[in-house]
Amino acid sequence: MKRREPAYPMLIQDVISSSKEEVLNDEGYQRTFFISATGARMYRAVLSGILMDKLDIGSDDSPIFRLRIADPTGGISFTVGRYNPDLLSRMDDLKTTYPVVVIGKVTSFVSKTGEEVITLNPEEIRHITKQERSQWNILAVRDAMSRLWMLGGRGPLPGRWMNVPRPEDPRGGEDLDEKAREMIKDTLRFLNKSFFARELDRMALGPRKPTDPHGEEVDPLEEYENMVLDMINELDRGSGTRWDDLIDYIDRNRLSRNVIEEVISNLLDKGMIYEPVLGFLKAI
Amino acid sequence: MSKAQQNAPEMEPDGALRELTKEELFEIKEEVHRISEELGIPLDEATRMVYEERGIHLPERTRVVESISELVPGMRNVSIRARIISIQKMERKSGTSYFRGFIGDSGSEIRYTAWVQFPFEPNTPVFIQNVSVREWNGKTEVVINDSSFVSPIEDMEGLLPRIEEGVPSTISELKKDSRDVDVEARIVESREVTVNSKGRQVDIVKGIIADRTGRMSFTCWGPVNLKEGGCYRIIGGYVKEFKGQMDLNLSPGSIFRPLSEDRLPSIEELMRPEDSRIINLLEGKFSGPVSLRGTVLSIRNGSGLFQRCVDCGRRLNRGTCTVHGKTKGEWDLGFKGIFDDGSATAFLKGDRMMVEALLGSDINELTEEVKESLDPEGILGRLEDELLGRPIKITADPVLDDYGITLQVSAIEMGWEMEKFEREIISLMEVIV
Repeated sequence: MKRREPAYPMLIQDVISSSKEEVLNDEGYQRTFFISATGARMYRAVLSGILMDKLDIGSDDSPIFRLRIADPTGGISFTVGRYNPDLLSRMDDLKTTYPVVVIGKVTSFVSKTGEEVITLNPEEIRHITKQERSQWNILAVRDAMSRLWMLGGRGPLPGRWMNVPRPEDPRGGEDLDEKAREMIKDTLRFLNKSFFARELDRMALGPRKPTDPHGEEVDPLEEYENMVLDMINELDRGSGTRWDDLIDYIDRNRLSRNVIEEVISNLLDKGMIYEPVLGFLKAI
Repeated sequence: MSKAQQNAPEMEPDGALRELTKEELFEIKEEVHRISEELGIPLDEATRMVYEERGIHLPERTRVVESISELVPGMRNVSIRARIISIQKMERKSGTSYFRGFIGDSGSEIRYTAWVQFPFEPNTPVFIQNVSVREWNGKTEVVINDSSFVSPIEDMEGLLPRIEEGVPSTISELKKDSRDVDVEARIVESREVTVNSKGRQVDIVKGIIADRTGRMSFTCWGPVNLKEGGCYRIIGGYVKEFKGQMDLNLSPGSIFRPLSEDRLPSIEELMRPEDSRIINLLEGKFSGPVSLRGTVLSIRNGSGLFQRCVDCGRRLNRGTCTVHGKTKGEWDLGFKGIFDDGSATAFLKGDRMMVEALLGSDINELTEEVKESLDPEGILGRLEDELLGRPIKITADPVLDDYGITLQVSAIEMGWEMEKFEREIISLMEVIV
């Protein structure tokens, strides 16, 4: 069955740091995909940001506009010309410094300096509201994180609705890995500074070693142990607490899954909880 | 009644044979030895005499096989404990009938064909004596004939599927071709249906099960008494694709163990439109409405205001119906387009109510608008302004066919809930540490 390639919601930096892959489809035609820094195998993309430039670089015979949009991670330029008559007719409606969404095929060209530049063949450009722009950005971040989750071999995603097409290992090694993480952090800080910045800072600090009034070091994980024990007791329906219920609880209460998993591991080691059956936890 | 059954005075009223008690066997053994000594005849002859005198059928010398997995084609005169998994009565052209199905124990299951009356219910533990094992049509099966004896027993130990000892799966974990399914679910819908299967009328039960992770349709190939709304642990069955959707296939021999009502959320909660993505729908794992977040990439020409044939409801093309020719039409609204949620694309269909809700005008107002402007494309343009490239959340009934997913929209909300995405991002945070 022939299916239309979906448009991946993407961050601009993710798109422009991608690498090209040319494949022959079932009918023998060449199709170009781009593997992004977070592993998206793109044919189309949805980008959302601020329209920075709209330059008329054509002539009466051959009208061409060069547009540039930017999001919290970077900017990308592309052109609209006579091959996009529908978009061309709407160029007057587009205003710079206002948010837009662009949907198009990802493509590339070789610049005068011999560098391969990633760009878009736009199929749709529309002004959207600031809120809608943020919604596109947050979906792009979540999908990028889902891809990194899958690439990291962490098992099933926490929810099926986070599912994304199978990612591919990006080509570029650790540099690209770092770039992917940084652009996600940049976007999260832009989207909800007070909420995500706090979480990012907490994670950046790592496990703290606060000092108690008597001068003895206290493992911060111990602070959570009573809380986690209460949680396990609360969710226990007789045969133990289901691991899935615990994850739901953690997600609902915006708790850090990493920290709690570590606490559970400690509690198991200490013998304060046990697993009556695989997938269940019970407090002693 | 078979010859063997006629010779079996120990037959119970339901046609099954009862086992001799230990005391009876001991008594018979004593008597056999006594007669053998008194008459100076071999033990075999004495045994035959005692059994005949008592009117008890002389058991054949059979070998008791411990587990079904040990049965191999070519075996004869074997006996085995098993649980009847399924029973199907087969009619032959000659008018006679026979039975076939599966028997199993905790480790495996095997086909059987019974050429004699087989008055048992699925899930009955039985001791089957003096059967042979053959290969038929490439499959190994146990043959129960008129020299075999099938007697119900009390002890189910070792006869239940071993998977029951494990942790059940969730519906979201089930995949196409999953076997030995073990799942805890609420019966959302259950209805008896008669279907024609390979030229025979078969009574089956169809319905929908749901748990916290998803929903799935099921088909039970035989009568089963399931309480709609009840929670069950369902053990035994396999997942098959039917009309593009995953379907849990069960038999009356599958285990339906009732659970407490509060084991799973209510039906209302479980049947709320399920958050999903098109990539999941393409796997066919849905049964009911879904919520999808994405955007509309294009709206097809012809969307907006159009006329339908008053006789058959078909869309008119320049006042002409493909069936009724030039005819009178009535105005209607609708749209078709391509929906993309970043994981895959689907066809989108919206009816008059959807268009009215999106444009904030009813059909009369929109008809007047078109008549005044003489621009039927005007409505299409307004739909494009409302939908193209905008983040929207739709509730839709998906249909999967050879062309992909079609979504029949029942509700459209503009925008997505940021808080939901924030929560999801927190749960994925470890990828950027």
